[in-house]
Amino acid sequence: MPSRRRTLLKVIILGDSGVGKTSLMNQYVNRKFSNQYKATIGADFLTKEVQFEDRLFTLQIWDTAGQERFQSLGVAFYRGADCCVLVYDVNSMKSFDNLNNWREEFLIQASPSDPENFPFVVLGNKIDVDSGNSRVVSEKKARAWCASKGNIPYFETSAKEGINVEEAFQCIAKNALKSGEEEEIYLPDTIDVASSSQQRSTGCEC
Amino acid sequence: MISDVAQDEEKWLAAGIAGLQQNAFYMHRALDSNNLRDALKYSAQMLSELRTSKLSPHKYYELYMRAFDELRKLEMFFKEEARRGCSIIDLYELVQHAGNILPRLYLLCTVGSVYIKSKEAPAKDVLKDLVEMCRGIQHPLRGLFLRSYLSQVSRDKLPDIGSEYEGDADTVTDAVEFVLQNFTEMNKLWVRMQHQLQYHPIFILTRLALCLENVHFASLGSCLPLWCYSACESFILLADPVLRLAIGLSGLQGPARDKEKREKERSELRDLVGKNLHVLSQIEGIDLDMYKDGVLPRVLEQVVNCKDELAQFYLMDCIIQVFPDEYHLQTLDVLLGACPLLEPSVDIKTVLSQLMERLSNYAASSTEVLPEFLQVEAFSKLSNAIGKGSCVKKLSGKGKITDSKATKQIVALLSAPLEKYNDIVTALKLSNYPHVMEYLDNETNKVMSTVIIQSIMKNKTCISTSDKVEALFELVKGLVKDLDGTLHDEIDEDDFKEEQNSVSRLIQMLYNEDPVEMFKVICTVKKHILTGGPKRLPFTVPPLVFSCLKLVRQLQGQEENPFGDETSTTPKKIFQLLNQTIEALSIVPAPELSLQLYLQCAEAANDCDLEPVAYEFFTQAYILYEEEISDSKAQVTAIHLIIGTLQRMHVFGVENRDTLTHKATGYSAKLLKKPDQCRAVYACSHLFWVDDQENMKDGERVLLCLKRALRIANAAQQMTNATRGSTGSVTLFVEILNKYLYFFEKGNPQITISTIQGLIELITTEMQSDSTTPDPAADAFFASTLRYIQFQKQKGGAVGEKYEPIKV
Amino acid sequence: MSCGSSRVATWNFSGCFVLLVDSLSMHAVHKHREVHDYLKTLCPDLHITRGEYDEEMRYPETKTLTIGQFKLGLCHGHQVIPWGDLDSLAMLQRQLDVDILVTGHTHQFTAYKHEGGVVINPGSATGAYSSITYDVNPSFVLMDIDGLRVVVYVYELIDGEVKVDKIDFKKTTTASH
Repeated sequence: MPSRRRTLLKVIILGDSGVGKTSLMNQYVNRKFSNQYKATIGADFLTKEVQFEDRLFTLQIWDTAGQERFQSLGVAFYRGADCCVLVYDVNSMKSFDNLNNWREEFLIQASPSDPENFPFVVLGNKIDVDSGNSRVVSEKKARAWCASKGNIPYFETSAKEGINVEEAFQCIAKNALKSGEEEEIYLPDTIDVASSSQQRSTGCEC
Repeated sequence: MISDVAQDEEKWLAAGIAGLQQNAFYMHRALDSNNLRDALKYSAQMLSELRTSKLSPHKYYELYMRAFDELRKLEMFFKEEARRGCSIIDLYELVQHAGNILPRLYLLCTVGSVYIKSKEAPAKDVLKDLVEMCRGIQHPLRGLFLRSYLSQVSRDKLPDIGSEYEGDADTVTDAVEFVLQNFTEMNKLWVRMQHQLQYHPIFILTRLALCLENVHFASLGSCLPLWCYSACESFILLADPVLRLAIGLSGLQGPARDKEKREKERSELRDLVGKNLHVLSQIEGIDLDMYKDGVLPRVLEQVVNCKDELAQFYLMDCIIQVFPDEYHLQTLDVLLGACPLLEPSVDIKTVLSQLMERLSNYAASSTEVLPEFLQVEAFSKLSNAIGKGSCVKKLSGKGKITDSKATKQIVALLSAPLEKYNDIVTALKLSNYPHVMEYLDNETNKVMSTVIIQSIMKNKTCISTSDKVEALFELVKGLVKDLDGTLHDEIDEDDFKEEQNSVSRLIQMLYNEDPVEMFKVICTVKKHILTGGPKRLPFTVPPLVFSCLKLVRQLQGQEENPFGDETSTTPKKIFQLLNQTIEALSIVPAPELSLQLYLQCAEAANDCDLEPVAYEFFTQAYILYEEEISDSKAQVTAIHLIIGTLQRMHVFGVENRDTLTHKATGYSAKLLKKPDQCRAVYACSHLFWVDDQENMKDGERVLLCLKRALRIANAAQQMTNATRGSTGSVTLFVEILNKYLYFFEKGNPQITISTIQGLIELITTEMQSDSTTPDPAADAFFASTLRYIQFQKQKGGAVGEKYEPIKV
Repeated sequence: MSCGSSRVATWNFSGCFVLLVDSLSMHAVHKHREVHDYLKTLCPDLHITRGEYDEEMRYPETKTLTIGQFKLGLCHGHQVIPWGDLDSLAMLQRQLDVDILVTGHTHQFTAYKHEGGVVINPGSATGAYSSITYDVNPSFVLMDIDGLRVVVYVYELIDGEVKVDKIDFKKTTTASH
């Protein structure tokens, strides 16, 4: 039986509120940007087709809420992620400091089969603000952190100006594919396929 | 330790996942072999796992996500089928044959997604169909997830502006309509959860009927949906707010812990509902007008009408967070207008404070933003909303704490532009800013005033014209005077002092080089501070007085224009103003302060050669001394100031000088304590001897003073003898001796060697007397005086000669 | 505080530094706490005498203290008439029996040496208006007391620039008391 060839790559974007996660996704998928801050609620995704080595993939990009109170249902959607993107704002030290928390939290919740080698990509966003004059996290510092966590690829981006966004997502796609988060191979028990599994569900007719 | 319930849940979840995985496996096989029928069969079976009622939202979500992931594959298969020529419309039909409604609808949405993408039908038609079909699921948990699924798969297919699905038939209005409808239905489901019942519908309806017989519900009218036994509809009718009451009374809801559980579950599910607002905010085609006229009113209508505390609080929060600041500013009226319509138990203050936090960040973000704020009178509206308290029901002390938080928020909001501008002058130019302060409650007004003054200090802003000063004082009038409605309530002493100190510092910072303008500034300030009342005047009058005196000095240097008209700025004019200003202190009353200020003015008048003016100031000072200053210590200080000032006066003619001097010496001799008298009197000796004026050296009167002082010193000694049995210290004598030497050196012919010698001997005798209390200080003083005489003798020259005859 | 009180703050360096300030506020009343606390942060050893606007009756009219080999006397000076008259001040100096007399009130810096010792007026730290002195330049004084020698540094703010001057005094005898 042919193993299902993966054509769907699932990517989760995490980071503090206001760093630009939604904007990055919008820039990449729709080539659009808006300056106004609009909070994200819950988690939702957009898809984009990417071409890679002659094959077409669907990149399923999950945008999440940075504000904790807008994650009331939990993070079941982490499951099966092929790559995780950590975003911080280069003009906010706090958002950089929190990267570690986001990374660890993700590894705990998603529990990938090979946590050591799970692919992350870090984006330092908003490099365009004030022509770089209000920047507080140096590139050097960021790269150092990325290196210390297993050589995480690092990109300096501006969702507003569209700087490095395409490149970053290309890398994200590549790493997602490479990581080969294989689907759990499921083997059925020997149950007659005709018998319905309706016995398991109860409740009303709806 | 996992509770029984939790353990059960885990079990059910595991079972659900197992069932799901099994059917998914077979579904994959069907997909691989392009077997549509089987694919549908197994996917439907797989989706049946979602029919469970046994899972909490969190756990259900896990199950849901797995199903979701599987459906993506199915969707891709459908796409391929469509490419291979399968009719999408047929497929759309086909999936509706699934046995159970829930799997049927999931499949329908999945096909619907492909359908829209194929563009074989207008997006809006398919979306409309789907959003209505989903009504088939009225169970809150399942319904919410289903609709959430619909929202997710349709997200990138909304006919937004610039989207590929936009067409003549499809516009952004349709997109909005779809999302709003989905939102409305989801909210209803969500609210309904609160009133979910745990018993079988038949049981409920019978009980309800019994209950309603006892309670009259006029609004039911003749339509009696009660008698409809359809299970689904029982849930629908129970969402009716009127009937909820009956349910509550009937005890059909089950025990309290169920209520808790329900609320927890509701809380977990809230983002499914809120997400719709996020989707709305991301629709590009919604501009401000559409938001204002179409979107916000509809959303708020739903929020208000659902009458559910949890929903209202959460959804208001969402609205504030997902829509841009600019929109909030422009719809502030509407937003704030909804607040009083919410359930009384909703924590509206938190909601408002979040709104304000957003807005204050927005205000601080750029200077271009501020005019917008003022144009919509944002500050006053927010202040009203908070101050009104109609939104606040908490009457406990807790309410007060929130109040000050709200105050801080408003202040932060108003301060943001100040910090940005670094210059109050610019802010003053914005004509609305002062009007805004009008609308603030008194407490906030004061806080803002302090902020403004601090801003001026920090930036050393120069406020130099009288109209700007006028505007400024209007702005900070909360500190300058009692505002209407302030009961002089418990204002902290220290806080009040700090406040007034900052006002006084502010006054000192007002300056203009041009005397004419400066005088106008001074007049403006005077006008305002005189409304301040007795508590404030002691702080505000002195700095104004000194500003005036500085101006006088500035004008001194200039030549007075004899042809100047009535309105020109002259020292005389300023002195008139000074008089009025200091006079105002009488209501405090502050006699010592007033006296000091009058004397300062007298000196200034002296420097301007204005004898009558100087005399008038002295008169005022003397009157105060005689009538208002009775404390002996205060008198001593006052008299020294009087003598010290008078001594420096050169403007007085003989008569005036004599009158004033006579009075001064009179006061001196009448001080309470003898030592004080003595010292004051010998100080008066200087009134008769002014070094740089030849005709002001009256040696006789000097000696008279010193002799009088001596007599008083003697009397003091005798008194001490009488009351304590020993003579007091000889200090006073030594002091007088030093004065003798002083005038001796200055060349007062009345002070002779013998005068001095006599006093020296007197002192020596006194010191050696048994009855004298030993006083090392006095001894040292005498010793150093004698040393001084020696030193002078040794100087040689004229001085040496003079001192020579004195024997020590 | 106001047309001020004379203050002396001391701390130890190699010799001993003494900071002299007068008129720390521009005729603002009731600011004791703030200025007092500020000075305390400069140096915990703070000595204050009463100025004519000081409503705090608890400040003494005069004060004496010993620093190293020197006896210092403090008095605001509005009590000594004629104001600013050096001979009258010298009398006070004799009365207090001090080597160095610190005084104020005139808002004019002076440092005057005579056979009895030194009279120092540090001027006004804020440049506050004075009826006695025109064009008050803000100033304060730092005294370096080392053995029998005292060096007086005066810091004046003239036309926006800080100018420093110094004057030397040496005590001829030690125990003359």
